[in-house]
Amino acid sequence: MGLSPATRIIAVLLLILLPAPLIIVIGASFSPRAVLAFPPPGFSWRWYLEFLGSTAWITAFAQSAVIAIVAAVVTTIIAVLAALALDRAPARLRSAAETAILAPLLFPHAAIGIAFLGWLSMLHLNGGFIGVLMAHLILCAPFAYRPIAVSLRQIDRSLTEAATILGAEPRQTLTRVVLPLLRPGIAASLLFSFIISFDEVTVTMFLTGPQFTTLPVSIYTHIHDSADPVVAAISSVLILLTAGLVLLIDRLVGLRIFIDIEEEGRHAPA
Amino acid sequence: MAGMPSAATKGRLRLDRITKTFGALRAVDGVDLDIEAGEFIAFLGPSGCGKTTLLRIIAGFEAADSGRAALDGRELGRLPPNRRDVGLVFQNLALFPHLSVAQNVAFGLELRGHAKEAIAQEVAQALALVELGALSGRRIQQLSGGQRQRVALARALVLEPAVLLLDEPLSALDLKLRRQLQQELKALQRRTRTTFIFVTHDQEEALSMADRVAVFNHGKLEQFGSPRDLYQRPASRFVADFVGEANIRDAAQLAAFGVRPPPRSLLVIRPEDCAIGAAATSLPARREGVIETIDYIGPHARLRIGLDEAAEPWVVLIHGGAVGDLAPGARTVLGFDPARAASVPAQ
Repeated sequence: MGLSPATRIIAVLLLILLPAPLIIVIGASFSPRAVLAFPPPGFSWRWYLEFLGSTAWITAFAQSAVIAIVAAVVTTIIAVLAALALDRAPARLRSAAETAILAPLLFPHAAIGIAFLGWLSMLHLNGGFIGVLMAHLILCAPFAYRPIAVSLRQIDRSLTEAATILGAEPRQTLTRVVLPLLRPGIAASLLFSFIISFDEVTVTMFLTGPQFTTLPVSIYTHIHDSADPVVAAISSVLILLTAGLVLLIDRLVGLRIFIDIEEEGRHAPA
Repeated sequence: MAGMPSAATKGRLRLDRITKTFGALRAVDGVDLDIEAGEFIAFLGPSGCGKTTLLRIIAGFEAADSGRAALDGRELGRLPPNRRDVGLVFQNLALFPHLSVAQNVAFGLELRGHAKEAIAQEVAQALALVELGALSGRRIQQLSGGQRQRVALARALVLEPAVLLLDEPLSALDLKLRRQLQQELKALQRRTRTTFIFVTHDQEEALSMADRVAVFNHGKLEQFGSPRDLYQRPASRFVADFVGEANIRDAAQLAAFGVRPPPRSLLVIRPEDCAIGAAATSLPARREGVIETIDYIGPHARLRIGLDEAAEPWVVLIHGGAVGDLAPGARTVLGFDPARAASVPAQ
């Protein structure tokens, strides 16, 4: 390996620093006392039991899970339809539409939150499930669209032509050839959209209300009032869940699908 | 594949002034072709000559700008590819990677709504036809190049199309496997008596496999005839040059031999019709020249003979055993018989 000692030291430091916050949160969650501290002064499951025993926390968890599942499924369906439509669109239209779909990646999330707040007030949808869902659909769209579009572009045109000449109508070509070959993209889209929606705070914070809130937003509001390690316990559960889903993506389709997206992004006209 | 007909009953294809342009390019330029049921046809030409475009027009993936195509008396017109009774083996084969061998072959049968047991039987027969019966459960990724080739053939043939189009399906294979599959393909065509249209840029492949060969250049049909016709009676300078090797000479170049070609014509003298040394003395047209190169290939040897510095050397094919102690730089006599030479229009 031709790495200089300095490069090696920086690499090692990065590898230590990157997961450090996660280790601190997980460590602090086992504290027996009512203060966030690292290293924990002892070991106990107290804050995990507090989380599981609290109706408010469990409700927030369940609402987050429902919104993440609905957002993942709906965004993925929209992304498949968009990718199929844009695949045949003229290059200019496709490029413009892709820019719009990817825009949430570039926009400041606080601005998106305020924009949604104003817009949802006009529609009288503030503080409810529908409002949060609409925001999450927009925020998940880039993560749903790219892996599906990449999968679609990897399908050789001769495969759909082969289906056609073997007798398939366009609808049959879609269900028997295109959709099965899109499976890696669809799986990546579902899992990634779920993670984005489940972990989202900045935009969601503007849109939740007394009757509907999500787990990350609840954590944020809770930490304003008290610094007890229950938030560390919940965060540890979220970390575990996210890590599990990322592992699942890697096992099912490989994380390479996101690297491909990056490469493809470089070729795309600005 | 039940009830294979003993004589071809379908697959008569008529093409009438088919023209297709892409921008300023005339990809297919007024092509007329009359193909009989059960024939093995090759479309031959260099890349970009329009042969693949014509194939895609017959398949229905491209629409001709003008002209008519009819299959067994039925106008193909704007019929979509799935209603033409035409099969296609793609250059990259286009096997479905998410399906097994048997599922690939069953694909078209399922779309036609055949009963499950009937499909299983037809798939088994089709796979037996291409000698792949043992591999029906395999995934495509587990197959070799030659096996994939056969799956693609079985998938197309199981539907008993009137015409099977093959778009350079052997081009990705190594030479030995290619020769073997050429033989198998030819045998398969004889057995199924399906009209085959085989696109290739390899003239040897076209001549050895096809009953008749259509030679294309710049979108135009140069000649349509049997392999012997093309070789012995080429219709144009392009065909003479593209099909086999040839010494093509004009009147000025032949004057030194005392030979005069027909007016406004070129003579096409095949390398194997030339002789050198003692063998040349009995031939009516002779000149002295210098051996420039000798390529010894075993059964025969290819020599380039220069008559004078400026002129294009002649290519001569002699028996491998006749090389003896010939060496580059030696002087020899080059001879040929003008009566055996074909003539093509000078322009």
